[in-house]
Amino acid sequence: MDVDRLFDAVYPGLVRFGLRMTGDVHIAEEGARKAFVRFLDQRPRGDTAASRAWLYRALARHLEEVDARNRKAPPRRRLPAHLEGSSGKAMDARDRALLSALATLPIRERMVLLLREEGLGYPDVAEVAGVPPSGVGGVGNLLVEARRRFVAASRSPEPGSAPS
Amino acid sequence: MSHQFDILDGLPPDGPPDPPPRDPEAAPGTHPDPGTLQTHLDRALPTSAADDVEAHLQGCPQCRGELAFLEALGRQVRTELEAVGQELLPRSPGDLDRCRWEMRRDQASAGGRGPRRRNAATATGLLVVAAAIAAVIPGSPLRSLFTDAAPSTGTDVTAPPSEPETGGGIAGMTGVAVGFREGRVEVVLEDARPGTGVELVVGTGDRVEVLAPEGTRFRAAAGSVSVELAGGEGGVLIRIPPGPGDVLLRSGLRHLARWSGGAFQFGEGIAADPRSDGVLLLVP
Repeated sequence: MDVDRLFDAVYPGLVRFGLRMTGDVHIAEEGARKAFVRFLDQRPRGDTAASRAWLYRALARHLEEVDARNRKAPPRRRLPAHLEGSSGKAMDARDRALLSALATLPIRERMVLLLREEGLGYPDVAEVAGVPPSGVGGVGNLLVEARRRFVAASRSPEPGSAPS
Repeated sequence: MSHQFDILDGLPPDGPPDPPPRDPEAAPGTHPDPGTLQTHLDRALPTSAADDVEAHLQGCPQCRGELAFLEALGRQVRTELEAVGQELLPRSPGDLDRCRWEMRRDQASAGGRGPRRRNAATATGLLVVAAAIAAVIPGSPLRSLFTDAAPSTGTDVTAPPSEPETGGGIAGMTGVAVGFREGRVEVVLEDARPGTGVELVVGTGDRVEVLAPEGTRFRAAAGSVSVELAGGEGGVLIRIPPGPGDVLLRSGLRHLARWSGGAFQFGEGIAADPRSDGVLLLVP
């Protein structure tokens, strides 16, 4: 498999997913790089689609670890940074509000919502997010619930105060 | 099932319509739940379940309304998220090159312990054993690799022209590979014209490879290689294995660059142009 081609095709999506999950482009880029380093180290077998799902799974595990660390950290560090990317450009207020709305979602719901936005199919979303593909608590139910919560939170005057 | 559709108040005119209220007399379990409808919408239900839902939808205006609501909700969320942080994402080839380089740097720093590295370690071990056996033979040129003294005149190596684009070779280039000695390899460029390009690439393998235009003469010994560029046209490509090990590059007496601990350090006044998995230097 041509790793450079895979990198060009998948890396931007990984960073986008990480950014929307965490609100911090630095964490997103670091996680995407770590996922690729693990990929190069382990060289899992499979076609491009399987490799893509593998990379999202590696990134998701990294983000869960970051999330767990942040829960233990002082409150100041629990808030997404929302500052600026390596390009030096800052996010506008609307982007910050939408990322804050996403941050109100439980991590599994956020993951399912954003993985679907990245175009992953139900079996891959289920595997990456660690949820059943169907039924109660499955991908479909979590997706509907996540979208409702996100819309509610993004319309809330004070992001983060949306009903859970 | 109860849903708070009022959260969508104030959506644009093309937002999702409110679904009709459920029939309170309907028996529980009669209607597919929203998750099942969403899965059906995404064409992710098994065929038999999809047929059942489709048959139910034919006769149930409430569920058809809810399906339309879920479709519009998904569209709404997608539209809102579409632009989030786009200006921060790597998009241009230059951005991707920078990211790829940073990833290779992380890989080198991590010094992975995966199967490839274990295989490389095994292969290296076997090579060392084989070389040690060969080195005890009197007169073997390999003996010099196991002494501290470099060969007095160096080992002249003029590699035959490489086959064009075969076996990982590069057309018009020839080269040598040299192993680390005490964790260090020194590459010396002799008679390099100012402006000669030197590309340092962090690649795979466990030896430092130096490739230069055909006709170049190399003098290689354990832990060092001299490249006589006189007469040769074109640049030099140096492939550095990831992981621990110092690689020093100089042109004559001038220090150009050093690879150490997964990072490059450059000599004073040396400009480095980052590439996909390395840097390009111009000999001053």
